[in-house]
Amino acid sequence: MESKYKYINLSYLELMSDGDAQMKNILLDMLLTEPVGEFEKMQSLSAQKNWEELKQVSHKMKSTLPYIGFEELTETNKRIDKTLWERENSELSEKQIGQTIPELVKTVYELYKKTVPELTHARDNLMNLA
Amino acid sequence: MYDKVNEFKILLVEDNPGDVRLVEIFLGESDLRDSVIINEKTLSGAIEALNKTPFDVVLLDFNLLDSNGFDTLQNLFEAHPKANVIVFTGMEDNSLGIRALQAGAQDYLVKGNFGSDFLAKTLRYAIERNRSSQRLEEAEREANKSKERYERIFSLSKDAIYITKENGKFVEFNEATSKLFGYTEEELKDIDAGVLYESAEERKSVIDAINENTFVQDHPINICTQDGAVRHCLITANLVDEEGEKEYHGIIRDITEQREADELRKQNEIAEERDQLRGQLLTTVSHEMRTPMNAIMGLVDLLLKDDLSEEQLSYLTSVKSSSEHLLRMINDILELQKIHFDIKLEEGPFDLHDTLMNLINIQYSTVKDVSIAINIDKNVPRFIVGDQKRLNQILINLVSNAFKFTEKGEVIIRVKTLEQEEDNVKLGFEVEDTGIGMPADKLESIFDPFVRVRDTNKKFYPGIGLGLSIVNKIVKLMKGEISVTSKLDKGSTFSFYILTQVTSGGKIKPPSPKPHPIPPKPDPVTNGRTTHPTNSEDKIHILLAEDNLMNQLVTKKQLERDGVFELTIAENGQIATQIVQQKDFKIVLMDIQMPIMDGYEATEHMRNVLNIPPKKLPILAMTAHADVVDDEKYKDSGMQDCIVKPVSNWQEVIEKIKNYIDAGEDLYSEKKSSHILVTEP
Repeated sequence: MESKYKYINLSYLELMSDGDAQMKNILLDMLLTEPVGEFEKMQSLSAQKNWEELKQVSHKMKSTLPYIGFEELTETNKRIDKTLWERENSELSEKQIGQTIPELVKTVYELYKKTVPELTHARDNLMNLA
Repeated sequence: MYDKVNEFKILLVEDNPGDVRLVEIFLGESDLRDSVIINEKTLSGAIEALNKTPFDVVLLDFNLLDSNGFDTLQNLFEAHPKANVIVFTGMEDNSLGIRALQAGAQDYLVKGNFGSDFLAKTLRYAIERNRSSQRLEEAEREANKSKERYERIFSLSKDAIYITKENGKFVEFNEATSKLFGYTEEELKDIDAGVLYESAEERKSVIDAINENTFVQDHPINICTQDGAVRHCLITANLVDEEGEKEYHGIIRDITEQREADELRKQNEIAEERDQLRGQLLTTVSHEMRTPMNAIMGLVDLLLKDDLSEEQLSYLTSVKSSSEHLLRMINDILELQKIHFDIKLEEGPFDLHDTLMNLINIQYSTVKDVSIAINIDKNVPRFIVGDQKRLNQILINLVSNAFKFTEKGEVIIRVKTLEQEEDNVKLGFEVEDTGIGMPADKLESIFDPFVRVRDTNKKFYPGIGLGLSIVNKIVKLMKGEISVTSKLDKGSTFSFYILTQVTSGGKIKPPSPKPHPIPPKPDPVTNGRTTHPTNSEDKIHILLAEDNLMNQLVTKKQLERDGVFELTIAENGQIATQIVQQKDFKIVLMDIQMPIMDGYEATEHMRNVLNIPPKKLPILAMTAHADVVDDEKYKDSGMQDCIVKPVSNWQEVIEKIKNYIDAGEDLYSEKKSSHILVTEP
């Protein structure tokens, strides 16, 4: 489905909420509030090189971000998740992980920030619809 | 004894009939003619007669058949020392008469030397003298008794009783005086009473008042004790002229404690009255508000069933949410007042363990990373007698609070038996969290009404601060006490105990069709609207173990859409292992990665510890892990199949669930596996 927004694509959200406006509203509200804390937590864990906990948070976001419908965002998070889950068997050294992951975490948060005005608009628009 | 003036009872002790007759004749001629005369001829007869009855006077002849001479009088007195005796003597025995008087006789009569009038006069005088003497003795006895009584009162009195001279020197005082002022008896004797007043003005006011009216009664004064303490007293004192010298006779009562108690009582009464007025006002206002609130909510529910635009729906949702919040506040206020004034516990036997396990079935929070655990000691009885509803209210309140103030970590409920004597048991409960905690200075007031907690930004947490006050009152009704310990940024532990009785399970009534005692929270998905036409009992129960709120909401929304399934949500694997024992679930949807206990561990627990076989309860993994799906790792822990997240085709998921539920044993024997392939958006 074509999206009228530059970054977000709410077709998955639409599908999951069965077109229920109230449900959409709740989900959009959650997308505007929940990820902020999680991304901040990811940044903090990344700075501490706490890969284990970062892996959990990123994985948790894996099933949340598809609702936003911003492929780059979803894929970046998936890269974090995949890298960390495969860390033990990965060809990447600990040093390389230490360089890659913080960059990806920073990117994922920046990408998310881009979606916030659009998500806000979508929610407000939903409320203003007659 | 005769009371009439001229009627006496006379004992005539005389063995000579002529003398007896003579006395009778003389008395018969006198104004004592109505007197009763009893004649005894021997001393022993006389003593016996006196033993039997008292006589006003005894006329005694010295020479009797069984006694002679002065011994007769002595022997009579020996037997009756108080006898009023007039002796008869012969003409030649005048000296004997005088001896008789010295020995205690009232008078003596010389035979042949008295006539009618003389006899009567002698008898009358003797009788009157005797009576006067008795009265005097009686008065003396009374005076002595009275003196003893006053001395006892004086020495035992708790009030200070004293006499001082005009110059302030103590003349006499009791022990209480020494105690009151804190001086020894010797010290007090050397002290000017004036220095014992708190101030010179104080003393002057008392002296002036006494000089004006010669007395003061209950005059308030402050006295100063030896150690410098000031005591509040009342003084009652008289100014007495004692043989030309002025004395103050006084009593001082220490009313310090009484005054403090009165002050405290007065303050309590004022506070109680204020509380009552405030309570009445709150109750009245709340009652008045509840009726229209119910109307508003009822009408909003009706409107929500209409075909609404999204904007209207949004507005109405806000109205409903705000109304519910307001109604909760109103109900809290009414509940507090109800508990304060007229609550009675409704006691009966119930399953304590069941009640406790139900606590984890409640969705306290869906957005926080907080787990809940229950630890019940082995010796905690399963069935007890008490008010299950109120105990539940206490626990839900404490656990909800714990969740409210905890962002991450866990809430632990602990229950143990503190004491047990036969069927009587003292149960201890603890609700511990890893939340924001409270500063020490807030702990004292935390159970007071309307006390609220602020977050780190100094903003109040939601609520009106009545929950803990209600809890405190209910605990007290259960003959218990509640307390709290807390550390800032570490967490709080609320501990309480109740007194109850153990009972056997046989007395428990079977559970009602809807045993859950807590009204369900409005579903954020349906916003409380009823979406399922069928009863909960008729639906297929699915347990969803999932920590992600969005996944919870969407899964619930999608699976309950057709009204066939009813989902119960567990926020982590540990809760899932507890809830799974409480309801007849047909299938479990198990997220793999969850806090506290992940999906693998939870499944292994269900299979190996709880011994729930796959044919009774299929467990389907829900995961976003590609490798989990590819390697079928989920099967190792006892799961049957897998659903890949995020789900895009819910109909396929529903079909898969139905397959597992309907297929029964065959499906397991074939070890089928059919992944739902999800195309991610």
